[in-house]
Amino acid sequence: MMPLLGAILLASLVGSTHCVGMCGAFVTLAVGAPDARAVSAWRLQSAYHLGRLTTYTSVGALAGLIGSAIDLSAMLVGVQNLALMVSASLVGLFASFRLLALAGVRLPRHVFPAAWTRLVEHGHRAAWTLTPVPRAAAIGALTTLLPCGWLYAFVAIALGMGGPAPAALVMVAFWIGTVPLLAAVGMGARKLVARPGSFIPVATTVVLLLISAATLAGRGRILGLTLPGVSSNLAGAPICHPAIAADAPHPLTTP
Amino acid sequence: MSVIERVHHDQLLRDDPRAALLCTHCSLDVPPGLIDEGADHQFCCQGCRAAHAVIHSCGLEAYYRILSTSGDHAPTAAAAPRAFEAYDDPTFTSLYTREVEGNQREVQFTLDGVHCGACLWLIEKLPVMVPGVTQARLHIRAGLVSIVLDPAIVKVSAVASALATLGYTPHPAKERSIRDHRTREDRKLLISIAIAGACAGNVMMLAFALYGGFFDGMSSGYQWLFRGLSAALGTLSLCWPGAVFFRSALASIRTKTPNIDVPIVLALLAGGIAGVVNTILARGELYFDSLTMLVLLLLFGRFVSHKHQRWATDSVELLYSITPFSARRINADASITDVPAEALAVGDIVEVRGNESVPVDGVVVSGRSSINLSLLSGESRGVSVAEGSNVLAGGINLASPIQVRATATGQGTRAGRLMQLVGDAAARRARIIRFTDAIAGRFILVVTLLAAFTFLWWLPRSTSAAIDNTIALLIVTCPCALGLAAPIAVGLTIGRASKDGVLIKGGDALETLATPGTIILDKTGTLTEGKPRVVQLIGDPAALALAAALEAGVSHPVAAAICHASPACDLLATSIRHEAGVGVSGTVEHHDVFVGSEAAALKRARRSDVAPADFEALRAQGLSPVAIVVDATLTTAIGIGDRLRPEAKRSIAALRAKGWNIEILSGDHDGIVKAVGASLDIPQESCHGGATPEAKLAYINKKRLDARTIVMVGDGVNDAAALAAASVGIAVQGGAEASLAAADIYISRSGLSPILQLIDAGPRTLRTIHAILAVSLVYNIIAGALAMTGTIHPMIAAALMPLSSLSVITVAVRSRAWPKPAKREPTASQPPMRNAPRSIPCP
Repeated sequence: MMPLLGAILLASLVGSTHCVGMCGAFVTLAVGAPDARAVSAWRLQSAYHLGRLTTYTSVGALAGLIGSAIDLSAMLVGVQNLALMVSASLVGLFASFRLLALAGVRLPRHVFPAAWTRLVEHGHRAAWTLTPVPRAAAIGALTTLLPCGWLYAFVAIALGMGGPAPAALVMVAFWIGTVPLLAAVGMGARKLVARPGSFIPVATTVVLLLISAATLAGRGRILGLTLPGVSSNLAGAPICHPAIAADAPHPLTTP
Repeated sequence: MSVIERVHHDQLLRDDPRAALLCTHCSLDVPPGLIDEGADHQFCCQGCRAAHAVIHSCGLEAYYRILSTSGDHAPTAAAAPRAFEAYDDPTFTSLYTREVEGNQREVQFTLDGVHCGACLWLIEKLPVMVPGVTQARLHIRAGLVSIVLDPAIVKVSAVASALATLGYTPHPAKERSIRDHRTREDRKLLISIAIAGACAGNVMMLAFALYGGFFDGMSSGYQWLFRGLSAALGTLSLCWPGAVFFRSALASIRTKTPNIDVPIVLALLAGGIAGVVNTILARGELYFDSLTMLVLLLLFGRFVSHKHQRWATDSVELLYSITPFSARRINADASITDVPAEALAVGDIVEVRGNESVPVDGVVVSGRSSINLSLLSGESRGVSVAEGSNVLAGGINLASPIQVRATATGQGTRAGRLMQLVGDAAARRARIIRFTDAIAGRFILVVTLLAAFTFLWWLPRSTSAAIDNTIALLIVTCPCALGLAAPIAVGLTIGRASKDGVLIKGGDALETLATPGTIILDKTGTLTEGKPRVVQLIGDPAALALAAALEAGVSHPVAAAICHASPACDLLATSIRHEAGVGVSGTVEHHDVFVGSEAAALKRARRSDVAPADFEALRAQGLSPVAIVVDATLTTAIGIGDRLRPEAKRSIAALRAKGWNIEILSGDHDGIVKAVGASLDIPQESCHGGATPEAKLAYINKKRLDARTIVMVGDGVNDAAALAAASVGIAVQGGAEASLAAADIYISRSGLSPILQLIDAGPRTLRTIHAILAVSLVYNIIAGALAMTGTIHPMIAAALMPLSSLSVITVAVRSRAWPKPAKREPTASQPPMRNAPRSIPCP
């Protein structure tokens, strides 16, 4: 598991230049609002990032849960590892679209549901009625609802993890990767964050594809991830979900 | 983005549209494939697009300015949400509000989310909740609220904001938008029903699998999967289609006015939370099969009652579409501009071409044509108009173009006023629905107290038993039967009646008809056919055909009656001469024929086969005598009158048998009315002729003092006031505009048999509602007691709950509160002389 988490952390760290651009506005507003000057920046930063962590892990766990449900349903018709395939397809689709767009290929514009954006808007407007610290936490928590392809690509990876706990861990790793640069922005050092070179989006997308491919190749065997319900020397053999095979070792307790 | 960057972008975009652009939000490069040429803002991803929208919606645009200047300065505070500020704009005031008495203004909003009687009650409480609002009236079918406010005390935006807080998002209303709004609401409700149905169906399937597994064994993994899926679908059903109940309940709690949605939500919440907790803990019952089914049934009940109430008024609401959307206004320089009908003002001249409807009430200033006013007057023949003639909005120009100077527009026209009247009538709600709403309020309190009692009683014994029994009680005693009974029963009757040509404008009319009282009939058009017919013939019948040939081209009621009595004769008349007030003469088949008054006929005739006493006898029967002279011989006398409907006698007897007292109140001559009464076995003291509209109104008001049900059946303008004053006003086919508007019920079928059906439908509907309420009460008492004592498990409670709603719907649907017509009654279009005293063969 650790190599996978390490790879995710690294990808997240490099790709967080995108987060600075997109979420920099929110971290700046959460930390720097005029009525927040009396509150220590440390508390505001913590609230913002913990708010993010809460929803990231929740969404990750939910994705893991859905993934395990997909696996279990698929096994009814004799298909195994379906969640992983779905996860890899989603990441592959996202990465292909991103690479094509970067290459200048005109793609049909997909419009995100307006109701979703309105929901986020309502949330933010409600957040601005709170006092600074809860507001920072709320703004952080709402970040997850922004339709960010980069974030949702990691949620898709979490979907393939086969259970809520490892999926939540994937999101924790992603979160850790985003903290340094966003914290720097919160400290007013946006100018210090170098403007990413044009190779960064390409590189991060490729890394994402690699992670996805690697997990698919043996549900993380290359990266040292152990399959749930199967001891490491049996990786690749038919998978049995821990919920079904009660005697199988738990994925997180397996060496 | 700074101005310099903006210019730089524009330059780049001109030079090479695919060149690197910066994202408006994050200032990173926009991938070339995502560049949106021509757009003001460019985004590198959907996330940035959404973030940009959020920043704007929160009024935090200052962030971008700060970013482009220093980047390190603290941003300004967030602006307050500015939702309804535009409503205080002077343009809005002039466009959407109007001054009413005492310097107050009236504003109309269409509201989202209006669906039941509780909404009406809640919204009409606005004057209590918002100081400065003096009146709030909701037209529930249109979802339209009219608010009168004092602009010195309260702003329009504040009222709009209050409405939004209650859960009804307001939109400025224009009559046209009402229909669009209704269509949208209907579509929304249907989508909700579809989603609720899909969720319920799938959850049911999963429940079957789980119940199967319960008896035959199922691996824990699949149990976990099926329960998880049930929980997910159940939660979706509660949060999406079920949200309508939550919003309504929340608004009712905010205003401390419990409505029927509160216990529904209480049960949904109790079952939902218990279900989710049990799913997570992998133990106990899930209630999602019952909950999803409940949501589906409740939404369906709401849809049925909505649809049927609207159905009844839809025919009347055709009026909405009779006035055109746009009009051709003739400007001072004689040019023609197409303008929206709303933009027309009094004094404007409009052109109305053939087959177009007239957009205004006005006077014809040029042109000559024929106008069909059937919708307003019931008269389907065209009325000739020329310069100086008055025309009414909604009339259809049948021939050549005319120009009309407007004397009234929009709401000020007769059609507009009529719409208003119908709208007001439709806003009334049946007392029984108000009654069930009221007892639902008490029900909520009782169930909540019982639930608290059950919980506390069982808590010392066992926590899980306390939770299970309380949930079982909340679920099993769901008041959906109370909420569904009256609207479904009334709605179904109204719907079935409208299919049968009887438009019932509100449930209260049905309810009133349940108690027998007095039915007052107007003679014309109710008991009689309403059209002059040849009722009696004395002398040579063959002369009638000659007279018919002579009168064929004449448009006069007497001519119509004669032609009707002797149709399909291909005799040819020549040398036709009309003498106003005297008669018609001419040559038919080499005979000199004259048709006209007795006096004129006697002057022309050298010989008479008809005695003067015969003419007197005709007059005595209330008939108009017409003489036919053939070759200087007065051969025939015919009596023209309004014939009794063939089924009148039987229907009157049937009504009397049901305990109704029958009276006749007519504007016709007293003698004629008494003669009609006598032929129908109605006592002479119950037949009143020669009544003016005022006298009719006074009579109805006097009768109403007896406090018994007074039903007035009429068709003319002269009946309108009496129709409105009666407990139930029934307008019959061909009725005039005013009677249509004033009546509670409009019957588009001729004859008295629909009235008989109506009289039957009232008590039957009420009986159905009482039966449902009784079933519901007995069910609730028994099931509630069993739940409180811990005899029934929550699973059985959950299975019982949809069963109880289903049984309510089944009872309502099977009740057949609207009786089938006994048999098709003969109508005026059938052979005319069937009941005439003598047959008249065609020569």
